[in-house]
Amino acid sequence: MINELKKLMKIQGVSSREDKVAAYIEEAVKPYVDEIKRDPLGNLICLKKGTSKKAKKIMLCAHMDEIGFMVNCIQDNGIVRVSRVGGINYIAYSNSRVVFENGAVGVLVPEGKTELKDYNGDKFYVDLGVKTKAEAERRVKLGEMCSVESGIVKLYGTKYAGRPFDDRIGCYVMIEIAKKLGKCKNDVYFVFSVQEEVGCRGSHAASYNVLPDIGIAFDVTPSGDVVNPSTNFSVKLGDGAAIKIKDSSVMCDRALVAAMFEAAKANNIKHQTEVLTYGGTDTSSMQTVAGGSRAGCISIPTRFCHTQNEIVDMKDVEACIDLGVLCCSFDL
Amino acid sequence: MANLLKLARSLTSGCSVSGFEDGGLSALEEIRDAYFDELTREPAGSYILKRNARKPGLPKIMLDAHMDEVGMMVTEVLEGGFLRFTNIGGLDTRILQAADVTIYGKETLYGVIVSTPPHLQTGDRSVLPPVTDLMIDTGLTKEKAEELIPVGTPVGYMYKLTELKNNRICGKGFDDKICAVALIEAVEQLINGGYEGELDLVLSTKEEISRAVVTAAYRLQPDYAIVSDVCCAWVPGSDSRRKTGLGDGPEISLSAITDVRLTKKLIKFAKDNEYKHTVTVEATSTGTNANDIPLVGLGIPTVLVSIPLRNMHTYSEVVSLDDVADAAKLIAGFIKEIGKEAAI
Repeated sequence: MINELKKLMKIQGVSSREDKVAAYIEEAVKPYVDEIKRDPLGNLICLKKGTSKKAKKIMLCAHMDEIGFMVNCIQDNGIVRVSRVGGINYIAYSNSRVVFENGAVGVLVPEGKTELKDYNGDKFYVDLGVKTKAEAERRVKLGEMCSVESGIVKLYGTKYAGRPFDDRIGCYVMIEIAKKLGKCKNDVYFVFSVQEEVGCRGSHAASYNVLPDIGIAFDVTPSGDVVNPSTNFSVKLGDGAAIKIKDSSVMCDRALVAAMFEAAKANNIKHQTEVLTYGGTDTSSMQTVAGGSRAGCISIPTRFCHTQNEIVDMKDVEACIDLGVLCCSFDL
Repeated sequence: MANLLKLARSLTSGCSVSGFEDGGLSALEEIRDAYFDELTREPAGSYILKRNARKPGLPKIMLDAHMDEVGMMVTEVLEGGFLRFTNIGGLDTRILQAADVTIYGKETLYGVIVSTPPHLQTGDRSVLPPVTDLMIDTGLTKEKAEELIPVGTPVGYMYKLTELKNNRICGKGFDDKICAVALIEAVEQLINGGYEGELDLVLSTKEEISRAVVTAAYRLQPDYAIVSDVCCAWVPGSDSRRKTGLGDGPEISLSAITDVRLTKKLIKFAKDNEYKHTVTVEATSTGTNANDIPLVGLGIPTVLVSIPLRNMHTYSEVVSLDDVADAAKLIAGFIKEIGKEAAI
């Protein structure tokens, strides 16, 4: 199990460059679904047909993309400037190794004399170890993307650190749901979306495509059990699947939230309540596209989101998988 | 006026924090029985009151006012039964300390937001604490509070509605349920006048946070949409461009987002018939559902009619019932006008 997750975490897929991630997931879910297609934006949409004639359409959604950078300027001395793609924490990513799509490696560093409070994209560059513009241009091109080196390591017990758990762990949860689901009365659409980190663009188009009755996102949520958290936040690592009530982009459907709590309780699945005071997920686009759907989100508690060492507990991941399977049979 | 006041009371007395707009349901059922054919709630949460056409060929008109209001949500239960919370929508943090609130938990409970007395304040008094540093005092023990108030419980300003002089009223949630009152009044006038076209009243959800009205508009695909929301009324010291005061009548919005032809038609109609109104310019954003409805589906010509209001997003919003009556009259008259012919 953990080896599959390791593989999935190693594949690079900065927003709009998710092809390799999609190819891996397509192979992984193929035996468990009836139809697979990729839409023009690149969303991977897999349907497992329901057994009932009155089947509802359940859309499960996790995003394949990760945050990263795009080359926007190559300077005379071979210095490579990059723009951020998605929400970058420059303090966390300072002096990290970055890997480009073509395999080239560099180091993301701030200009000397930059004070911490001034850390932003304009002050950072990628050092490729080259001396001239020509050497740099042989390694990378304008528009090429890179991301901070990926991969995971095991911490104590069932906890792992690494990146990009956001949101490869959601993709992993959905692959496992596909494996476990078996016969189900509803039509279940497993949607692996693109470009979430730049504004939930993929799930918007995919929701139009599917027009679900119920939409459930699987994504990470910050965990409040850290020293001096920046905001009050009750989600804790190891306390189970986090059932989202709100984030900045969405108020989850109350009937769906109630059904999730009921299912978790009835089946002894460890769960907790998530009220997020910021952030956004694919939940919002599923809720408001076209005629709308009942939308909610099962979140995987994650410490230090958007850093190179996001931490998750596999016990929480398993709770999310178990709860996700039950949600596929909802009739709301 | 008595009818408007009664409606304002019944729509604002319950819970309607964004995403939790269940408080006015019994009032809506009464309204359905009086004027409409059906009441549905669509998946994203908006209520749709539908009055089918009595005669074919007339344009289908959607009326929108949002049902939700700003509020709070519990994020953590603390020692001593205090609650941490976060805001839902744009709360005015200056007026939160010592405010009375209603907690919509497993039971409906009252609470008060903790205030640091002047005697105990240290540091810079001009700096407001962030909302997430404030607490609600419930009077309960931690154990009892945890049992009755799960994390995620919505909290609203406590209901009150007082009558001021001069047909003015003061209360919470008039943004935007006072406009719902005006639209319901307009529908009543149209029906009493024998209007036969389809009228769909959308009492939309989550305007304060995400403009979820778009899914209702998508389902209805009307020929026209008339949005009614509140605008900040003039008070002494206001920005000089803000001219509409309480009692000046409804404000018609001219912007690049709403439909120019329909808006011009509305202004001409109001002028020709000497209906009380003002006109305002909101060039590129109205800050209302009228920003989003025009681009739904194949496009929906939309106008915005606003009712002036003081103290927006507080528990003491003030409006004039005269303005509400004037808005209803203007909207009913205009619908009769555009309802005569096929859609533009």
